[in-house]
Amino acid sequence: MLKLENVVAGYGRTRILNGVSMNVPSGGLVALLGGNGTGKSTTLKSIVGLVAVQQGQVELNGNAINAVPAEERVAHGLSLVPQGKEVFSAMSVEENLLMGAFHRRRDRKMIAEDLEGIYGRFRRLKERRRVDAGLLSGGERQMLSIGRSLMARPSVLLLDEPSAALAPRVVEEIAEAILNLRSLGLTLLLVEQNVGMALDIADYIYVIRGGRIAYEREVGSGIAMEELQEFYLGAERH
Amino acid sequence: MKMSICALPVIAGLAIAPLGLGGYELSVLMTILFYVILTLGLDLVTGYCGQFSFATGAFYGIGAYTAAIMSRDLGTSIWWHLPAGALVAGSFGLLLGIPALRLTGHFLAIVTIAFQTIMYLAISQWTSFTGGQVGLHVESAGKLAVFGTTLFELGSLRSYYWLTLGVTTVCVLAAWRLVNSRLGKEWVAIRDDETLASAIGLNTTRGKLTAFVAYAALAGIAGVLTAHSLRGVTPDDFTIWISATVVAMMMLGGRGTFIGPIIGAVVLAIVPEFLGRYAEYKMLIYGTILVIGMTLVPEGVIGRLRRSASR
Repeated sequence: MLKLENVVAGYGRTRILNGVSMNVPSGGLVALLGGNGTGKSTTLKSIVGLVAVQQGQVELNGNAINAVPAEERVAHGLSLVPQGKEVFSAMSVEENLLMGAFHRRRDRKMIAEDLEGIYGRFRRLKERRRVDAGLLSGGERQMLSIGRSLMARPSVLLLDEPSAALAPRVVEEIAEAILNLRSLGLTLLLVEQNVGMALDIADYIYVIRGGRIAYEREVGSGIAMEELQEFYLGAERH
Repeated sequence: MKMSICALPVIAGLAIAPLGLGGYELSVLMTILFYVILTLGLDLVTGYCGQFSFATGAFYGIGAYTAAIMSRDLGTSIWWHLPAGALVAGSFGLLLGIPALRLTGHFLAIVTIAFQTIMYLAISQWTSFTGGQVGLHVESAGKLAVFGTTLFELGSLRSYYWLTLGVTTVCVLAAWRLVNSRLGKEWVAIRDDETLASAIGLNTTRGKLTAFVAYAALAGIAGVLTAHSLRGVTPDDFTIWISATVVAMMMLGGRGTFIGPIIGAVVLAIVPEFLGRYAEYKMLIYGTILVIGMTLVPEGVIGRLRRSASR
């Protein structure tokens, strides 16, 4: 479904990714783990075209998409839920959700149905549909951010640290919401620092360190936390 | 709909104003209308799209000089100058929009100041084309004739005022349509978070460039109207002071609020008329209002009222 082959990317002359290779199968939930500054967000940005891929290839459904502009990748089925619970703060909740369906302008009936679907999934958003998004709580903003991405009707949803800076109870809610997304048949790539949450919901994990995949393993195949720590933190085994 | 209901009595009042007002009052009203167009244009690019510009005076001048040069070389009337002024200024707006694709905030503001300075130097130094510091004479606006029958003579102050009011109304409606269109939503998304706008599939390049073109075209139209109103153009009519004044008008009213910049334009355009012999200090007053306003009410008067209402 989504495949990265030796992707090298960065900002200007600064190289962040030094040959990342990953595979996210159709309908799978894959987690990309790693510490700060290891290249997790850059990996997602290079997939959606916000960071140019300098070498290597990003493939979606077997087709290379390196040359596809960022604004067209949404129409190809890729949607990013950015880090930081980003919303358009001057717009209402509903306007934010509709922005997610911006490229589907001729699809009015379906857009209305999808909007109701989002409200069904995230009831608090329905209650606050007329409220400016800038006034929402952290958890509500995260729900809105996910809802807006779903409005694009993606086939692959990329989530960048959805649990960051949220209370434990809200993290549980978000984790449950992400698991529920699988019922929509979505392919999910989750970037996380919260290892516990990732191991709870993902099928497969990758650990990135220094812009390279340092570890990968199927969840449930007996991941040793000690081993994971070593790759995650770069700690030496004694 | 709500806006048109509120606007109708205002437009009707302005339309019948010449019946009871003298020449001086009409001139003041026309100056206000010019500033309304300029401020609305700046609000599109800065208030809605988040791209700072201090080059309003330059686009205003480009429109005015387009009218003056066409009038001198081609003998055309204002009916040709209005679309031509919008087109020429809009083209320069596209040119200035290109650096905006790579620059933001202060850096973009510096580039627009440089553009304003270059345009001022060009029109003041290119004497053979622009008349230099002396400027150019502009013929009367002409008349509106259909198949040789004159419907509307624009030679008098009163008829020219009505034309200015009509063009301003069209500009306000066009700006209103723009900010409520899909493009307007794109502009707001770019202003709020450009990276996020790209991530959800918006073409931010197109969004920024269209905002600059719309802004410059509106300033160009205001320039054409001003050139025919003054019956002449000189470089000193289009300096960075104009740009600063328009920024102050927008900030006072509230950028990105549509009605706010219009109110800001009306208030700050009227203020000098009440200053009498102190009018020469108007830039000092504008500057003070800008500093105090930005410190105490950074979102402008209407922005603050709106925010209070939404809580």
